[in-house]
Amino acid sequence: MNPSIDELTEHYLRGELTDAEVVALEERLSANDAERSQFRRAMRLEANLRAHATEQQSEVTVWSGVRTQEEATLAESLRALLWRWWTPLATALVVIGTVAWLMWPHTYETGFILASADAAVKVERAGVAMMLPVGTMLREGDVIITGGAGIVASYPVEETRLELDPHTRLEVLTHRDGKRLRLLAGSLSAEVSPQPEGRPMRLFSPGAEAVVLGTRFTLSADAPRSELAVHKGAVRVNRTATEDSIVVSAAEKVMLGAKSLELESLPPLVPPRWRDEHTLALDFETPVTWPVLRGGRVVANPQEPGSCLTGELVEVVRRKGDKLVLATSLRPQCVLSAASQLKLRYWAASGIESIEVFLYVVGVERAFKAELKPEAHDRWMEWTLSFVSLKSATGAPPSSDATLRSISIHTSPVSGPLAFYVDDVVLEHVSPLPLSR
Amino acid sequence: MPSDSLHPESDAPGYELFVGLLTRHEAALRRFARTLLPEWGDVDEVMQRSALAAWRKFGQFDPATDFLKWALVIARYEALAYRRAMGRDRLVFSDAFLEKLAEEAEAETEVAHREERALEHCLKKLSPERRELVLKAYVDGTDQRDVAAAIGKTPAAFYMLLARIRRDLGDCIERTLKQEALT
Repeated sequence: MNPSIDELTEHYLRGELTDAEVVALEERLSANDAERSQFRRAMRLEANLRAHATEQQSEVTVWSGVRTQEEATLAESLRALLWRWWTPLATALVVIGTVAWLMWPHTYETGFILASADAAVKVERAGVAMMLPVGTMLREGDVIITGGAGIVASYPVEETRLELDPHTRLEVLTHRDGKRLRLLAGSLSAEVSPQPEGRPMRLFSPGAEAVVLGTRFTLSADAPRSELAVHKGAVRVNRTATEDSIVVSAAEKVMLGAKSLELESLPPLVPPRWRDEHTLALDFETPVTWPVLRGGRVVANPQEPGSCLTGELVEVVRRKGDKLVLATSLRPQCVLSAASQLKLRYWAASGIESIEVFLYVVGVERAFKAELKPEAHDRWMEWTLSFVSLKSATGAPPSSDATLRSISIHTSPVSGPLAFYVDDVVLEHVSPLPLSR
Repeated sequence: MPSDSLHPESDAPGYELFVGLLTRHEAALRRFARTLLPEWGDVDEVMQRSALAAWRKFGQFDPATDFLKWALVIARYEALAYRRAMGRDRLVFSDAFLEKLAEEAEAETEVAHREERALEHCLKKLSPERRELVLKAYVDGTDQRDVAAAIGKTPAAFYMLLARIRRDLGDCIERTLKQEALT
């Protein structure tokens, strides 16, 4: 029995038309204006549904994703509005705090104020966990506890600022003879203004003490990878157990749990600027409006230049749900072999949890995929991917004589500002498409 | 000024205008490409090529004229070229038939836009369960078989359900447009 026009349209929509059905559908549609009009309407409806569904999903994720200019402006307005209300409130709280301090002189304020964007922050005070509003001045012995989101504690008199990462506990000890804080767990970044002479800020972490004169640094208290990294200025580290010490200068870091304190160079924090040889690049800090076009290189058989991939390469960056997609279209000129591999040099900023490479081959609609969880961020890393390790939806790798069609690289999630760069994409052990194909 | 360079920078003159126009008409261009191409992967591919070709030729575009019409010509050319290349590997519609479809689809951009607005209204008329289901099924990049599995249906049964929902939406859109025409 011949399939109906509805069935043929259904198969077309699902991309499952057989060769015989392609012929049948074309014959039917060519001969019947009404059916052709119905077919076009079905295509339009599907496209509209897809656009609507994808847009709705993006709306849900937009605040955790890349912000458009309008969204950024809106966020800025909201922040300004919050601050307009919170500033008087914070002032009032400081006044109330001062009164409390006067009434209970045995309890000392520390000068640090909760300045998180959240309305309230969890603090352990005298062994009791409580939610304190933003603007509250912290007292000696208070422990700030962050949950899933980081918070900021500031020392407004001198613009010193501590940014606590999620799942961090920081005890504020005192500020009378110089600020004293103890990082109990987690990590923080600090921007410390020049400290009064003879009264450096001291930040204790398990087994070590950082003496800060005025600098920008990050400190992590997560053993065994507890480390201090300095981005500006200098910090002296004193270890309590071994009584050794070292000065860590800008662009250096030291592992606090190591046998001996040894300085290591930090990779530059800011990814390099766009260069032509970056095949694919995306700066999440710039509002992304589809499409962003970039040109670049995918190099095949570097030992044998020109053997394939002599065609034009184009790349497009576009937003797709909560992912950003970097796609490279290739002219189908390279044939894979069992030994084929792809080498990728990439830079993923902190926050990028996974990178997926999708490989499309001629004649196969579904992509072959491999996923990588970056072992390190904010530095150039290399990833070698054997094509036989790629998996399709059915688990099978591409056949060993498949012809390469395109490569896509996806990063996930998008929770900017982030950056992701890909340098050379190198294909090895691929061969030119035979002329007879 | 747009150039032949493969490196258009975001600060190139005309770039913002180009991106703005392309973004505004992206939905219409995708609908058009979808009519001519059997797979969404192909649509994405042709949209990329069309965007690049349009940028290269943007210097020739007269801002006083209709950008969508201009871009549709480019998308049509790119879609046909792509289908021809694809035809080397699998059977596809003939050039003559695709030209006919493209011509008719180009003439329907206005009605397609009205349908897009009517769809929003018609989706609200669906039951919340059916609305959620159909929106989940059509999110870009979703494998409908995964959605089927998630609600405990076989792919075949799920496709039938989606076809019914689409038919209901199609009927609703037609009614809505007729009512709009009367008022």
